[in-house]
Amino acid sequence: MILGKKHPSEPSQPRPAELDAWLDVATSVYPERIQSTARKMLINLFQERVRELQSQGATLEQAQATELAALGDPHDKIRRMKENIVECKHPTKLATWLAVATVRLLPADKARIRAEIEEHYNAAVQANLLRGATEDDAHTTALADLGSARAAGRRFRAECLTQSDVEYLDSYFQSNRSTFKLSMTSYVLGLLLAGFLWILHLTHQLLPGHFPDWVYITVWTGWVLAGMALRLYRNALSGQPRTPANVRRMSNARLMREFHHVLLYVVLLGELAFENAHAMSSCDNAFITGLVVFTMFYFCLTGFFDIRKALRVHMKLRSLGDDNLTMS
Amino acid sequence: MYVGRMNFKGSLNALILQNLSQGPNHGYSIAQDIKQTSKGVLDFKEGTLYPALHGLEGKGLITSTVRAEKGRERRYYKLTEKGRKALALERREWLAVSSAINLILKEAT
Repeated sequence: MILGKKHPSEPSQPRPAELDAWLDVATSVYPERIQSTARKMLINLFQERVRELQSQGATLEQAQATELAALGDPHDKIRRMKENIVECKHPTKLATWLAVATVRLLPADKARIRAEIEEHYNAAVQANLLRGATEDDAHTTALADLGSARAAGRRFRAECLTQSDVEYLDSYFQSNRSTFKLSMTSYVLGLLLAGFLWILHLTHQLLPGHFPDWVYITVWTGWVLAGMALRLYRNALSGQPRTPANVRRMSNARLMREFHHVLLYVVLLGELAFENAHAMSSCDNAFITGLVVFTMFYFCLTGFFDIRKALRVHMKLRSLGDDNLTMS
Repeated sequence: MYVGRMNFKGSLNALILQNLSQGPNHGYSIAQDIKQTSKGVLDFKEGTLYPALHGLEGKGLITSTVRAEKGRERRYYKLTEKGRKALALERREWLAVSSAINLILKEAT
C-alpha cells in the first residue's frame, strides 16, 4: 500500500494515497479557508471507521480498502453537496419553520428573512455533513439549531412592521369625509357648550363638584380644542403622499388621539368615583353611578388597548430607518 | 471545570456588534464565531440571531449588503460609526457591571 503525502495540520497516521486523491477532489467544493479543516475532519472520520473495522477483526489494509470503497466517487459527493446548497433536501420542514417565523410580516421582509435563513440552514447542513453526520441528521440538527420558529417569529414581528401595522396606519391615512364632518360638528357643539358654561359660571354656581366650576370648564374646553386640532391635523395629512416622514407624523397623530380619548375617560371616571363615592351607599344612586362608572371603565380599558397598539407601532417606526418604511 | 450553557439574550446585541467590529460578516459565521469564541458556553438558538440583526440595522448600528459568493448570495453585515459608539458604551457598561459583580462574589468567597 502506498502511503499518501502528509498535509499540514492533519492527523499523523498512515493512510492510503487513494484517500488523498479522493480528498483533493471532494474538498474542492469548499471555500479555500475551510478546505484544510474539512480535509482534517474527513480523515478523522475515515480513520475512526477503519479502527472500528479493525476492532471487528479486519487487518489495516482490509479496513482501509473497505472504507475507500464505501467513500464512492468523489464527484458524486460534490454533486450531492451542491444539490444540498441549491435546493434544500428537507423543504417541508424548513418551509414550515419559515412560514411560522415570518407569519404576518410584509412581503419584502418575508423574502429577505427567507433568503437569509435558507442560506444559514444550508451552511449549517454542510458543516454537519463535514462533521460526519448522515444527511438526515445534518438536516435535523440544522433545523434544531434554528430553535423555535414561534419565538423567532415573535422577535421578527417585534422588529419589523407587520401587515396589521400597515393596515392600522393605512386606515388612518384614508380621508373619510363623513366622520370628519361628524367629529368636527361634535367638537363645535362641545365648544358651544363650554362657552355656555362659562357664561353661566359668571352668574351662578353650576356644578356641585369638589373643584371650582372653572376647573371643570377649562379642562373641558382644553380637551375639545385639542381634539379639534388633532382631527384637523389628521385631515390635512390624509391627502399627503405616504412618505416616511408623513407615515411618522401620522403615527404620532394617532398616538396623540388615543391618549386624548383615554384622558377624557380617565378624568370622568376619577371624578365620578371621587364625587359619588358617598352616593354608592344610597340604593337610588348606586345603580346609576355603578352603570356610569362601569361604562367609563370599559372605555378606559379599550382606550388603553388602543394606546398599546399605537405605541407599539410608534416604537417600531422610531427604530426603523426610512428605507424600511415603504408603504404601498 | 464544567461550565453550563448560558442564556445571554440581553447581551446578544453587544456580542454581534463586537463580532462585526472585527470586519463585515454574515449571519451564519457570526453565530459560529460567538459559539466558538465562548467555547460553547454562550449558546443560543440561531434563529433568534436574525431578528437581532434586523433590529440593529433598523437602529442604524449596522448596515447590510448582499454579496455573491460562489454562486450563492449572502447578506454581509457591517458596523457603522453609530454602532461603534454603541459598542464602546455597551463595553463600558458591561465592564462596570461585571467588575461590581466580581467584587461581590469575591467578598462572598
